[in-house]
Amino acid sequence: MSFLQAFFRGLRHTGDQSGLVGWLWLANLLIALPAGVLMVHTLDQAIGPSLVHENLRQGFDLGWYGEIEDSNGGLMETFRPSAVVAAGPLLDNLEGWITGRLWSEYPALLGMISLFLLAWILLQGGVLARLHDPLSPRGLRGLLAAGADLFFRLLRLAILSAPLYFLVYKLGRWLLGRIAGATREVTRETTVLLYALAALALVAFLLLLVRAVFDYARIAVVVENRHRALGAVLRGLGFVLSRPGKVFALVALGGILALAAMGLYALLAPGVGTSTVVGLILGILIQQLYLMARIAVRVTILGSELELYKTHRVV
Amino acid sequence: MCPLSPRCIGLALRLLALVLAIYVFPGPAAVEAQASLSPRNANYTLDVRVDTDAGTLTGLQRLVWRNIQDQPTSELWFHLYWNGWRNNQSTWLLEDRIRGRSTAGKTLKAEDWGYQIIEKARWLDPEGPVDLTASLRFAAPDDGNPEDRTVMVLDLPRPVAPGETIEVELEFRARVPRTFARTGRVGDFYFVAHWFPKLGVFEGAEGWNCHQFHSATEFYSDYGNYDVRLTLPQRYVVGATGREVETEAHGDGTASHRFVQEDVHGFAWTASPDYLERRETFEEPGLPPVEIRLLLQPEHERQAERHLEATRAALKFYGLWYGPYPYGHITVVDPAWGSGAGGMEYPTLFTCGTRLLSPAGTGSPEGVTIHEAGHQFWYGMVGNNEFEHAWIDEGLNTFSTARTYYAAFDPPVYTQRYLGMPGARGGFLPWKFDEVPMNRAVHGNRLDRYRRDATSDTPSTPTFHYYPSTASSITYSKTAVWLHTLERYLGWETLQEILSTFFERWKFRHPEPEDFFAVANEVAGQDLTWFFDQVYGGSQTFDYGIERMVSRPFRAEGLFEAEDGSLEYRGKGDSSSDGGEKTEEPKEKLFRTEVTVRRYGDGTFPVEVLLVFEDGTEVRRAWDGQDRWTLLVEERNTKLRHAVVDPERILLLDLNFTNNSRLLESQARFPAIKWGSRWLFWAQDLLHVFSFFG
Repeated sequence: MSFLQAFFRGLRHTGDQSGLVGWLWLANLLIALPAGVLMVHTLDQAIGPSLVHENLRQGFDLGWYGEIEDSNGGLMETFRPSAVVAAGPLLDNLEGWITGRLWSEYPALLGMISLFLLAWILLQGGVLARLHDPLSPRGLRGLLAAGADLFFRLLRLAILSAPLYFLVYKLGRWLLGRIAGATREVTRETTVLLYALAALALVAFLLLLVRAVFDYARIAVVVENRHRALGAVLRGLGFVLSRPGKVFALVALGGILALAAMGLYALLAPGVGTSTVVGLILGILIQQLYLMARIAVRVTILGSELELYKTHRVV
Repeated sequence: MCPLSPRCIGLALRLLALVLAIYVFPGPAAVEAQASLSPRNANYTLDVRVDTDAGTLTGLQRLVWRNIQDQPTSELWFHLYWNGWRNNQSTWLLEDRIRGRSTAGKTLKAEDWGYQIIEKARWLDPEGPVDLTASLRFAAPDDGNPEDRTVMVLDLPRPVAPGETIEVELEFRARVPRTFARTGRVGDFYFVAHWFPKLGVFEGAEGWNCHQFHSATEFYSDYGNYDVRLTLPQRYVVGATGREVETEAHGDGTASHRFVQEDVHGFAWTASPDYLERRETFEEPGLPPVEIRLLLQPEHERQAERHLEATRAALKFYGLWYGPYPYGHITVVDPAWGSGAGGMEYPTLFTCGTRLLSPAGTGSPEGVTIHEAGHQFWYGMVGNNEFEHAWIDEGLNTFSTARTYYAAFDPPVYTQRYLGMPGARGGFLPWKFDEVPMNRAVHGNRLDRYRRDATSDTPSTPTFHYYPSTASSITYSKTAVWLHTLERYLGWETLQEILSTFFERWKFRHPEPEDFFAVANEVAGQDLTWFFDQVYGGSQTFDYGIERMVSRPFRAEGLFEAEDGSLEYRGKGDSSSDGGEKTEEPKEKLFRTEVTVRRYGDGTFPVEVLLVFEDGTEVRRAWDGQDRWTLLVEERNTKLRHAVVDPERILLLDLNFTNNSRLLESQARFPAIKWGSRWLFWAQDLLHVFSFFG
């Protein structure tokens, strides 16, 4: 089976099981929502009865932001123009992902992130089980039941993957440090930029490699009902190494689709001048559709990987 | 060694060239034939050879100094700035650590450190040269740091009388450091400033004003003429203070470049084999032409016009507002990546600074170019003591930079730079948020920085005593913000007249803060001491706000004198069984509006309060702003919609403008939901990114 055949099968299965994307999106929304409500309340307090509300209706008031920037800690530390304007949120998070900054910069959101990761592991198990066996029980209950069955096995895999991700980020920081040292006599930014981009590309590749290995490890757990995490990882690693072309073609396709979704969002992102309820709702809809699209890409790639694995696995 | 060896002959020829350079070529004395703009009492002739392999300089300096004070002196005090980077015990580096800057994250190698060593010092007394080398000693007048070698004192065998001119010759060598404070080298790029033994300023009875080198302050010197010959490998493109009057190629692959400049108080130079060169002439009706020489990094070639345009804007607006630029030429230097030399001013030459990717509208390189070009006026021509009163040049120039930028260009927009090197400022890849424009009042003046550090220092404290890590917020930002406040309070025409008068009176001299305040009071025609006492003499903060606001129907109630003099009751139940006379309901509802305006800060400023009623009526009330609060009462047949204290935002120093206005009912809910939902999306996307690891 070619990677494209695997992809289209994965796409068809995801389409058949579109409810999965909905549940994953809902989990994402519900876990983020309390913090969102708290943020609305905090902003409400920060604006107060001031006339500054007019500026914030019509656009983003940098002067007001400057006044609240230093006086608020906690959650408000994450409120910044680049996080709330145009494509800024995506760029901020993409940069955080490739540099590893994600893991150090948001202590105020630690609880939300931890809860989400647990929920994701739970739901991902259900998703994999459903994609593997479309006849398995449907609905949220079926999803959760299958997820619960796999939860601790997938959690062990996640724990096993953590030091590898840590090492990749550590390597990235080390590489950038080495580049800074090696280019200290270089007088052209172009040269340093190219070295830095090469280092970051390597980091991205290694992150994707680790994820691919663990994706196939998770698939092995589901397809082969494996209980030993280490064995599943070795199985995943073996699969990736035996078919690197197909594996990375799928990874690249997933990346391209994610970037395409980001590009489309950047074009459609709600502007700062939204001043009507209809505009506000439309903006929220675009944002949520984008998130659904990203989740759909993730589920599709997972389904494609599953198809690839089932076709090519050595029993 | 054979006396006729080629090496000896070469040495002899070089010595001959040096003697010719100093005694035969037209030096400062010849230049004096031109109209003198400044006292020209500290004149330098320098002959310097640069060893680019070793990164060292060897030089011979002849100083012609005239004592323009009414007191004699038997000492000469010199700055040896590069000794601030001799080791980590210098005052500069100790302060820089407090500042949390450069050296904190820098791995320094042995060759990175710099130094200046005086080999010989001679007084060229008409009665015969006197060797002063043995009298050389170091002083640490600011902090007594015995490890600091940035101030050198030479004892003279006899006092220099008022009006007397002396000549002193110094042989020195120095190693160019890896860049500290925008001076040094990286690769084959050199930016070399405050590099020669530089005389302090003799202030008569107060002695020598010659501070140690400090991390957060800059320079102070007398004006004079400079005649400098630089010899370095021929492949280097050289730029420097002044005009290049002579270039001579030598047979050994080196070339000498001779630069001459009158009426300046410093000399800097730069050299790199990579520079691209652009030249054009600035022309503006009413201003003298200026030849602009741009030395640009090849990778910034596409930004050449933007550098030139910003330089033209500075020469134009500063020239028209304050006074013309008199030198006729200016050199704009785009420093190399990693050099750390960007954003610094030197006489007739300055460095700007940009990035490989810096799209139009981000404010860079235009902002820094205007700022450093503007320093030719505030610093170059008006030569205040930057050790003690840095706010004069930096503050006036920050204010002027913002004014010029917004006069010449569209407002820049908020820009985020992504993907940077560890510890570096700003990433490689910029992303412009076109919908979020910045503005002159807040961002041009750097109000946010002032707000953060508003009480960190009192500006009247000598600048070198400022807390190092917050010094710039007071020096640059606070001054710019209070000047912009003055502009709004007095009007631009008056402020412009203040600044141009101050410029005209104090160009090529050393003004003190009191000189600026005197000009301001005189030109404004009013005593502004109350203002300067707060913004310069104190660290008060300003914050006015509407604390409470009530506007509700109101009807007279209680006992009032009737026409017959008896007391009658008016109010609820006044037609009840007690037999009281019924009062007619007023045809129009009367609203009593009470607005409490509060002074939250300790600074005072006269403000206006605007009351806007629902029928569109506007009422303005003046308040001297002295008390802690005032109550404004209005009784009208319309309800209040909102109130604003200082509606035109004259008091830019007000640290919290959000509380300056108040609606009867908050309308924050919609924008809170709008921006809260945007943040929620960011948080959801963040969670999705985290799903990568699960």
